[in-house]
Amino acid sequence: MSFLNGALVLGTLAALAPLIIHLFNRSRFKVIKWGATHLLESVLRKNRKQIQLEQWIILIIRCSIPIILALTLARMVVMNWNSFLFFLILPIAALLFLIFLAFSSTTRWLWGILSAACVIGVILGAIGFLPEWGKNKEISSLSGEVPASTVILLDDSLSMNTNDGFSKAQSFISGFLKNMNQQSETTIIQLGGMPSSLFEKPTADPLALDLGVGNLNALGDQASILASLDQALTIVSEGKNLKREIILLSDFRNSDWMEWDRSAIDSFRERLNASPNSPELTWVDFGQEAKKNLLVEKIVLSSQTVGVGHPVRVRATIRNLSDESFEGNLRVILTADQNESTIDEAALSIGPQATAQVAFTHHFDLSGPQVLHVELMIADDLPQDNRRSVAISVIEQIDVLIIDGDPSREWLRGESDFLKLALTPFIENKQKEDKDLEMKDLIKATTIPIEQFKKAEQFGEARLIVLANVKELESTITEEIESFVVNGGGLLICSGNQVNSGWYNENLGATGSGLLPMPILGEKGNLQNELTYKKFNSSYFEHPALSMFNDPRNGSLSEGLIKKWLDLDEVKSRSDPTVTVVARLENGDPIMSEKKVGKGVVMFWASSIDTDWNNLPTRPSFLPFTQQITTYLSEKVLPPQTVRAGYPLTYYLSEDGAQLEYELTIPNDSSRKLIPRKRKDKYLLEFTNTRLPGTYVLSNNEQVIAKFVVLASPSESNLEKAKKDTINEISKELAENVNQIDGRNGEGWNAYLTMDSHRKFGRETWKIMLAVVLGLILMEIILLRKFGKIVR
Amino acid sequence: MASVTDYLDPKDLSRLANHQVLARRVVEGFCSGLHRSPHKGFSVEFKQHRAYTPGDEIRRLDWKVFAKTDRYYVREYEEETNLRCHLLLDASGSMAYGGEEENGLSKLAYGSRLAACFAYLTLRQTDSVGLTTFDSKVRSLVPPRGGASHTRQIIDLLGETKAGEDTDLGKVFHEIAPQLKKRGLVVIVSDCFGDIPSILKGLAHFNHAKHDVVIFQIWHRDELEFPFQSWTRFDCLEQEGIRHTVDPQHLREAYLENLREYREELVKGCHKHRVQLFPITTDEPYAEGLASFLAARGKAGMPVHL
Repeated sequence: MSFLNGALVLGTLAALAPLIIHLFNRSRFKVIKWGATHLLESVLRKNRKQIQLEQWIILIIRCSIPIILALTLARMVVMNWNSFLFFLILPIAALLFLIFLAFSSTTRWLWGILSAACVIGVILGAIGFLPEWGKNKEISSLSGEVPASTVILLDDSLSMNTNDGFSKAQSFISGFLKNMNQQSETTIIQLGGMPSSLFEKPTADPLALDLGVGNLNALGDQASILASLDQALTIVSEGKNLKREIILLSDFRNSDWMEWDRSAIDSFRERLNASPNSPELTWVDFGQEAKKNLLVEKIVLSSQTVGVGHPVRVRATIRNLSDESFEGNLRVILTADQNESTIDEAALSIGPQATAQVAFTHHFDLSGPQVLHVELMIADDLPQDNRRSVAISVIEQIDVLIIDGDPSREWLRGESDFLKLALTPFIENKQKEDKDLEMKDLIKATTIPIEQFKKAEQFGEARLIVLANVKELESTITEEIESFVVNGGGLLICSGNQVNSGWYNENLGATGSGLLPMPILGEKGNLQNELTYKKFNSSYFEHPALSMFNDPRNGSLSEGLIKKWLDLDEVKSRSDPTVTVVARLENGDPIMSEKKVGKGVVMFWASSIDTDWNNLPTRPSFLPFTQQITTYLSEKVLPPQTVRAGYPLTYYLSEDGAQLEYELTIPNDSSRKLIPRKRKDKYLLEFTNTRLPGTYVLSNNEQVIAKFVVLASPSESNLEKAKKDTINEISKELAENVNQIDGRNGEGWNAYLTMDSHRKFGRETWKIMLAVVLGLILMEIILLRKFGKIVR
Repeated sequence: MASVTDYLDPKDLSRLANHQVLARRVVEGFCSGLHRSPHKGFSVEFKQHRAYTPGDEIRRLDWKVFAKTDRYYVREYEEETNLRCHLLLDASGSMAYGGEEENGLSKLAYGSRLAACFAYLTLRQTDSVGLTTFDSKVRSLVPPRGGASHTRQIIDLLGETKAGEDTDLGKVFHEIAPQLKKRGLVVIVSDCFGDIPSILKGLAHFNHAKHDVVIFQIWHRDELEFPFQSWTRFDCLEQEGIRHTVDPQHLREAYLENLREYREELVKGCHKHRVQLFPITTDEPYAEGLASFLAARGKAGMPVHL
């Protein structure tokens, strides 16, 4: 016997209430000095026993009602139905015989004997002397007849496409829904990437579920099975039905079953065992062994952003997970967006269980967001991983004017040499005669020594001016620069040993043009003392210019050592909403700060842009660092557009852009409206539900403004099956008994039916108990009217 | 000392002003009164002719009849006489019941007022009335007399009468009956709680002595309806120590059935012994009850039904 609402069993204590009330009434009586005692006495003399019997019957009924009602509300479940009937019917029969005894006059002896026999029968049954039919422990209800609360965990990760595993799983679900009991409720959770329910709540509508499942595709990232089981247990524990089950439909790949957190397994088992009516667990395996699979494992671009007409190098890594060898006959093509025609192709050689690389070069004629695809033209067991995509932005070239405050004829001795090298790496490498490369720089950088920087005409078409270790400027030039920034231009001020702090504070600070984000207090650090060297604070970069460094694959700024830097007075700028600290050192000092001035932006780099005060220019991250700063200041920077599944997509907007409406098309061809929001002083659009790999297209009313590519984990291409022993071992740790069904041959549903037919569940008793309660209440009402009229 | 007005409310008396207490059966007496007397004496009301027998008075000869018939007949007349009324007031313990309220009107108090009123009416019509109080035996006695001043004695005795203990109506009736020398009206004010056969035997004794017997059976509404709801301990008023704690709701039907049988038996018995039984409840103004009783009795031969 068990209870679905166990706490309500305590309601049986309410049976004491009628008894207490009866005793209370008997103890608190009125006293009346009565004259017609002779009339009363004759009644009592003749009817005392009858009255006592009637009172006992009423008391028994009144005490029984709360007991049975409590058991009804607690939804008692019995495993032995015959025994339940035995212990229900006999006491009721005893009570009925007692009532007959009270009403009869001539056959009182018969009813008395029968009532006593029933009571004795109950007592004997309670101490174990049950009749044979009552001992029968096999229970009544077949599983299929019992309404169920079920959670189906559907693995829709990429690997389920192997040999139509996913469509077999969909067929299984169709069969399940067709046989769904009317009172059953079912939840379907997609496992690919983060677990996601098909509907918010369990539903009893099989048609809606079938339709929803039919529209699904297996494109998800690696499945999180344990997290999904946890979520399923939470849902099914609140199920309204007695029969509860969690069915896992998966391909049981090794990557899904490796390295499970032991404490999470223990926690799940504890929760499962603690549940009063714990669900059955059933695994259905749809994962065929895969012999042949190749995939495009990785694509690396020479640049995330490329200028119009500038070539971009696309380097793809191909992995061969099969034992087959290809000798120059593996065809790899490069395509763009939805364009099916091939931009470029190559024939590759690759050995068994090996990797190979292929490189393409392409240039775009038009600016705008683009997506490139590298695809293997081969039939294998998992075609879905034969193609990989990458997003790229094509922009117009950026003109940058660098004012070198400490020029030098020696290579890399000038203040701006490293900067120019980083901004225009391909021009600087023009000594190499690898004409095949034909790489061009996004940025066109022009350097002017400070002494020659006299007039505004020298600005040219520059969108960004860099002051690299400039001591001071003439007042006219300062005004021109101020005007340049106010009208939308970008200004990068880099520190160094030439910088005249006093001049900067006076002319570019609050009392001057107001371009300086924070007043300069002095210098910090010691070039000779390594102990004073600092690194970048390794916290999350919220600033769009540096957000790419949040992904470790793009490099780390912490690899640079900052030996000397300018100490800035942050206090005065804290209340200035136009000033932002972009990056800090590990001691908290701002190393990069920004100030919005008019339509433009000024960034202040508190250290040198060459190797005088830090070694960042010699680190790999210097190039993307400078390019990002530069493109940001030129209003061209974009957050990463190719991300892993589960990572958010972010797009920054101007103030005018924040007034428009935006729509994001996701890979299953549905779309979402995105609403601009403000984070600190920037407007942005953000989308976090990137569980589906593929291309996401962001557009406003007029045009497509961005394209993002969400990548599935390469581990999905590893089709190695988890060992049976591993699955059994983990299953045993999760639960005592887990049903395992082989669905690879497409007969998964039939096999489930066969297994289900052998299962039986306990039976709920609330309907019968409720009928008994109502019967007792009616009986009490009738007997109260009838009793007292029986006069002997 | 009890005040007359405690027992005789002027309003009640005015209500009964036009009523007379009449004996239904012939009673003895010789004073001028309202009631028939079996004795044929000189009277203003002619009764019948009888043949002359030697020794009859010559002045009683009816010469008109002689003139017509040439035979001698004497005239006989009804002799009007006074009513001798005996009030028997039951002062046993059961008469003390006045309801659940402490200051409720007890049956004894009610009966006393009824008796006082009856005595007053009787005395007013120049009849004589006496009062006997009893429980299991006679307790006090005021012999029947006429005259307005006799009211005082009646009232004094009523004022002194308190509820006693046991009832034994039959035994008391047997004791009282021989003491009533002349035929008269016996008015019993009681609840008639007791053994009915014994009571009826006592009534038969009165009947045998040719008394006109009337019983005012005093009930309290509670005794008739048994309205009690919660658990109650009933303490017997007549015998200390007899207590019954019961759930009245459970007994009610049985009690009422028992009560019905009891009353039926009493009615039958009274009817058999030509005793007029008039039940009255303490919540009914006694003047009203008495007035309706007297009015019914005024119609000759109409018994008052229960």
